[in-house]
Amino acid sequence: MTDHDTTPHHDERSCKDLLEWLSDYIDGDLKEELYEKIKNHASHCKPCVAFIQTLQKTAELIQTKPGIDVPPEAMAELTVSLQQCKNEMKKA
Amino acid sequence: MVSTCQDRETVMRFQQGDVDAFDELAHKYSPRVYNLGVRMCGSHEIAKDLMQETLISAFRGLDRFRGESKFSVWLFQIAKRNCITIRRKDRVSPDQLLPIEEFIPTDDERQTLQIADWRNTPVQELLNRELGERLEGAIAILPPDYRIVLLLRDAEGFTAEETAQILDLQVPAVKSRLHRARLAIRKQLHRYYRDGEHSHD
Ligand SMILES: [Zn+2]
Repeated sequence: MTDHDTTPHHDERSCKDLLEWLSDYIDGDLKEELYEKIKNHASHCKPCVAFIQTLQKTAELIQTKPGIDVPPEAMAELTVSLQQCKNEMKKA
Repeated sequence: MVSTCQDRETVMRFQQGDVDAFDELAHKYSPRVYNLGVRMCGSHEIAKDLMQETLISAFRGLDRFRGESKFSVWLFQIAKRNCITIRRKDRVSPDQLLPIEEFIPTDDERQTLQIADWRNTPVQELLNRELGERLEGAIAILPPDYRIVLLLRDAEGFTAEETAQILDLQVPAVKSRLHRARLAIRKQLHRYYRDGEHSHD
């Protein structure tokens, strides 16, 4: 007897079928019915839970990661160009 | 929401003749355009040009902006156009597709998934320099059509609808590409953590 026997049997095919909707699931952007279906499935499918958690963490990491700093000289160049535009506009 | 109202107010001041009001918009958005440039075009030099061209076009065109969309959406539409022009110059690879089948976990992965401790570690703890580089690397190898959706949605925080507006796509296409892009990054991160390539600090 392994601890596998305590988890209700389910069809691995449903893991594949639900894969398409997991981003909408973590974004809270699913119709009630499908949302419940995934939630239900996840309640007895450990690999899917882990998959959803890692997908969610992935999205969070991208959302949280700080951006790349703009080099000061690039900002300075932009300021100069904008000033030129402003001057042209004032003359016109 | 607050920032949208602020933008609208700033745009109005500009349109009423206060050209210096544009500085606020430039200050706020040029780093975001720059970031998109680095990640889409892969070079700081090009990103600098993209930022410059986009902000200058916006400055010149802002009088004609009627507020049909948010200012940020309008600005990123310009950035996207510039980005395409730049990339077309040295386009080598055709558009790639990421079929969902590629991301169905293998049996091996189903096994190792459950011991993946990174899923429960707070993001702030995970985000060290090494992971940052890994993440950037994974983003960099995404096909461009997927990469830009991921960047606009997850890095820039645009909604699916706004992203669709910027890229001239349907919302379901945005969602589908975002999902595949996230799946591809997730796969890379999973490998990274599974194989224990990362250093424990
Ligand atoms: Zn499952």
